[in-house]
This record gives sequence, structure tokens and C-alpha cells, in this order.
Amino acid sequence: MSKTENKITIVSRRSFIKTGASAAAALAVLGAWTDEALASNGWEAMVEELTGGAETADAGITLTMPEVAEDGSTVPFTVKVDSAMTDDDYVAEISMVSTANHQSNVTTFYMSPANGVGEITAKMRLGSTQDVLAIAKMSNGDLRMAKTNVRVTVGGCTG
Amino acid sequence: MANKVRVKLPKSAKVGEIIFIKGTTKHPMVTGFGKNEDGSAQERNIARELVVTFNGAEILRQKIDTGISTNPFVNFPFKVPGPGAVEFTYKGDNGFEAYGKKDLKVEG
Repeated sequence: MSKTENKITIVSRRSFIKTGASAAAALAVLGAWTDEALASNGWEAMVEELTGGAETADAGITLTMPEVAEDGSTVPFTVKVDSAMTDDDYVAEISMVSTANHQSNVTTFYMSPANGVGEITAKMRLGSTQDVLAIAKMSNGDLRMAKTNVRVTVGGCTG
Repeated sequence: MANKVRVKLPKSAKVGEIIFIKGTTKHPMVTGFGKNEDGSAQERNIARELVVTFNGAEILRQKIDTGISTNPFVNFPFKVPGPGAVEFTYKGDNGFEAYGKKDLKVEG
């Protein structure tokens, strides 16, 4: 964690871990997160890290998830990104961000023109009812973001 | 490598066709945020990465964190360039490794 005086710095979990802080310090921070979980799991910082703070378009991307998930431990998601998937215009990355799980970064897929279309399906955990974000990074650096809300009846443990 | 990845491909495909490839492996995906039955702190044990190759060239890579469900699953598109071998490799905490291979057959 970067040290600053009289100033609160937002440090994402990933960059925090990268600094190689001691396990004890990490546990202390995890404890603090539990208390602050209702406020934020640091997803804003994760979005910032994934987008570099740049603007995201909401067109050309869809995130499909069930509106209600009875079991939060395994919730399917499908992200579709409009793209010709040619050598100079393709979907390079698709990332999933949770706004309420313990850990905001869920997964990132790295794609290429070999995929033919920009689409991915997998299964994620949802600890509670929340917004889920999908962020796509195009090969030219353009960013797209989709958001959907999933109501969770039974929480998916502690993803 | 004792752990297997189940790979599912269409029975056959045409060159230029976009097919969907599915893969899954068995993994408990322990997040490390909970506690064990005896109250001790859980240790994280998750798959960290998936790499899928076609005839040795990467066609999908996935970075995996704790939010991915038990027994990771993926379904992704692939534009068929011809026949070849689809290979999945998952790697994770505690030296976890799982591998699966299936041959893609092409018509005509």
C-alpha cells in the first residue's frame, strides 16, 4: 500500500498485493474490507484500473444474466461484443467486475480475431444482490461497458 | 497430470464456420474468505489461469479470480481454419494443473 500523509489513497486489491505487503498487513486490510463491504468492495478502483480512467461506451456490448438467481454460487453470464473480429479490429479483452462480492475482479478473457465473434459465456459467484459489470477493451483501445442487476435469493458464499 | 478438462466440440465443422467450444474442469475454487469447519482461516485454493490452444497457437486465455464458480466452465467461439487439436490447460494455486485435448474434424 502506498504511504501518504493526511490523505486517503484508494488502492485496489490487485495493486496492493503486487506491492508484496506482509500477510499480516493483508489480513488487516481484508478485515477492514469486511466492515466496508456494504459501502464498496473497491469495484470503482477496479474499473479505473481496467479502463485507465478513460470513457466507456455503452453501445456495442450486451451482458446477459438471469434477473433472479436462486443460487448465487453459480450464475451464468454471457457477454456479446459487436466486432468484425478482423486483424485490425477485434475484441482484445472482456473483464467481469462484481460490485458487491469480496473481490471485485472476477475474471478477464483475452481474445483475438481467431474467435470469429466477440462472445463469451461462463459462470460466476454472486455473494448478494448486485450490479455486475462487463468491460470490453477493443484492439484500438476503445472501451465498452455493460451493466446488469441480478437479484440473489441465496448468496454464493464468499466470492 | 491427473486432473482432466472435459472439452466439447461439434462432431464436425466446415472451414470458416464459427463453432463454440466448451470446457470445464473439477475444482473446488476455495476463495479463502471463509472459515474452515474448525474455525481456522481458509486458505485460498483457486484455478488462476486457463489457456486454450489450437494446433499449439493460443485461441483463448482467461485470468481467473475468486468470483468464478466451483468447477470453472467456459463456452467461447472459434472460427475454424481447418482440422486440428484443441487443448485446454488450467493452472492454479498449490500447483494445480488440469489438461484436456480433443481433435476438431473438418468436413470435405
